[in-house]
Amino acid sequence: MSRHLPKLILLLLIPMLVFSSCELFWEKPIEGDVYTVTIGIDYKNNDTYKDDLDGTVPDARELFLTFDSVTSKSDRNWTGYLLVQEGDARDADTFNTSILARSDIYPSKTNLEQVLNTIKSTAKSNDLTILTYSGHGFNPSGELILAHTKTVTETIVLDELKLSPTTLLTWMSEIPGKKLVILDSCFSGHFVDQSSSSLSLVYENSINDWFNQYWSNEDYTIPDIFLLTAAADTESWEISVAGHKHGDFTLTLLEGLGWPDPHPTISANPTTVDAVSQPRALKGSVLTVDSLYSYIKDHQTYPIRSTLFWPRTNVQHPMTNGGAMDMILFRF
Amino acid sequence: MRRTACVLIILLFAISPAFSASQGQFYSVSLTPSLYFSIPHFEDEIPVRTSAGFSASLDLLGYQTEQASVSIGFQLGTVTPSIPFGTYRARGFTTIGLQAKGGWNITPTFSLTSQIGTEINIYKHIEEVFASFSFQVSPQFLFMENSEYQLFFTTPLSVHLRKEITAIQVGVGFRYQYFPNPKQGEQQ
Repeated sequence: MSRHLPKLILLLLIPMLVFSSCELFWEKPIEGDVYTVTIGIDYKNNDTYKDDLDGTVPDARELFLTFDSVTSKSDRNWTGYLLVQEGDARDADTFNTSILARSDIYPSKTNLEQVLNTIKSTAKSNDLTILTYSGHGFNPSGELILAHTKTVTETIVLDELKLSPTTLLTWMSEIPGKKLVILDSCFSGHFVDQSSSSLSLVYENSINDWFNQYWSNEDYTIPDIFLLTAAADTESWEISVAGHKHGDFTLTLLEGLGWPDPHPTISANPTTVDAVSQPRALKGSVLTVDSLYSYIKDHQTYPIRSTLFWPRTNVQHPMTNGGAMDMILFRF
Repeated sequence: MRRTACVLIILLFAISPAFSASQGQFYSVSLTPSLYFSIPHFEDEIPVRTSAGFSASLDLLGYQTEQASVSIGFQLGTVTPSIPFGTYRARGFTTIGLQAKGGWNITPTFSLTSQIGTEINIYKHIEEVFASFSFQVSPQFLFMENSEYQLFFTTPLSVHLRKEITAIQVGVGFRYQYFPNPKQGEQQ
C-alpha cells in the first residue's frame, strides 16, 4: 500500500488543482457602477386608499443613505434615485418632479418608468441596479400600489395605481447588468417565481414534488434579477423604533447593511457615508443576497415560518429566488 | 461488450482468493472531508466552482464474505457555498440520503467499493429543497483490524447528479466497520 500511496495522492491532487484553478486563475469580471432606486409611499394624500403607512418614507430615506455608504465602502460609483410620496399634498407641482438623482422624485408609475428608462440608457452589463419598494402590496396578488397623480378635483382609481410583478420585472429586465428588487410590502412573495430546480419549503410541497422537479424538462438559468421580499403569501408589518416607524423587514435590512445600532432618531440620522458601519450581514468579504436574507430571517422581530413540523401563526417569512446560485452584491 | 465485462467480473469474483479476515454482518461508519467541484449545465462565469464538503455515512445493514461485501444505509453531508467569483457563488446545502454499497476485496489490504444513492438536499440559507442522485467509487486501504472491526483509509470519488449541476467530489476519509458477531475467515 505504502508503495502506491504517493501515486494515489498525486492522482487525487491533479484533478483538484485543475478544477480549483478556475477560481484562482480565471480572469475576474470587473465590477461596474451601482444604481439604486428607493421608493417609499405613505399614502397620506390618498382619499380612496386610506390605509396610511408611517414607516415607508423612513425606510426609503434611510436605505438611500445606506446604499450610498455601502457602495462607497466597496469602491464603486453610485447613482441613487429617491422616490418618495410624503404627506397630504396632491397638487400638480407635487406630481411633476424632475427625474434627477439625489433629489426627491414623486413615486408615480410614470415617474418610476422614467427613472428605470434613465438607468437603462446608461447602465452597462457589469453594473448593479437595486430597486427597493416600501408600500402597500395588493391582497392577494401582491401588486404594488404606487402614488396617484390626481388633484383634489379628480377621482383616484385604484386599478391605475397597481404595478404588477410582470410589468415591474419586465422594466427591470431591460436594464443591462445585474438587478436586485427588494420589496417590503404585503404578499410580495408573489413576485418570486418558483425555481426550475428547487422547491420552497415555505409553500406546501412533498417529496414527490421534489423528485418530479428533478425530472421536469424546465432548464435552470441563473436569474439576472434577484428578489428579496418581506413576506411570502402573508401580510408584512411595521414596527416602531427610536420615535419613528419602519417596516420590520426593512429595519432589519438596514441593520444588515450597517445602519447605526442603536437606531438613531430621524433628526439624528447620519448625513455622511462614514457614519454607517461595515455591513453586519457580511459573509467573509462579500455581501450576497443570501447573506442579507439569512440576516433578516435571524434578526427580524416578527416570527418566520420556522420549520415544517412547528408551523407558527402570524408569520412574516422573507422570500428570495431558489436555485443553485447566490448573487454577490458587494465586496469589501 | 457488456456481456464480456459481466463474465469477466463474475470470473474475477470466482477465482480471486479469500482476502477478508473478518466476515459476517457488519455496521460501518464513514467520515469524509472532500472538495466539491460543481460543473454547471447552465451558462456560468466559470466552468467549475469549488466548494468544500463533509459527509458521514452509516451502513445499518451490511454483510461481508471473504471476497465481497454489500450494505445499505444512509448518509448525511454538507457542502459549503463556493469560493466567490464574479457576480455569483454556488449555494451551500445540507444533504440526507439513502445509499446501497457493494465492495470487492482485491488484496488483503486493498478493496474497492461502489455506491449508488439518492438524496434530498436543503440549501443552507434559503428554505429550498432539491432531489439528487449520486454514484461513488472508493478505493479503501485496510490499515487496522481485529476480529471485531476493520479500519480503512478511503479515497472516494463521487459524482453528484443534480438537475442543474453535475458535481465531482474528491475526498479522503476513514471507514470503521464493526462486526457484532464476527466469523473469522481463512486468510491466504
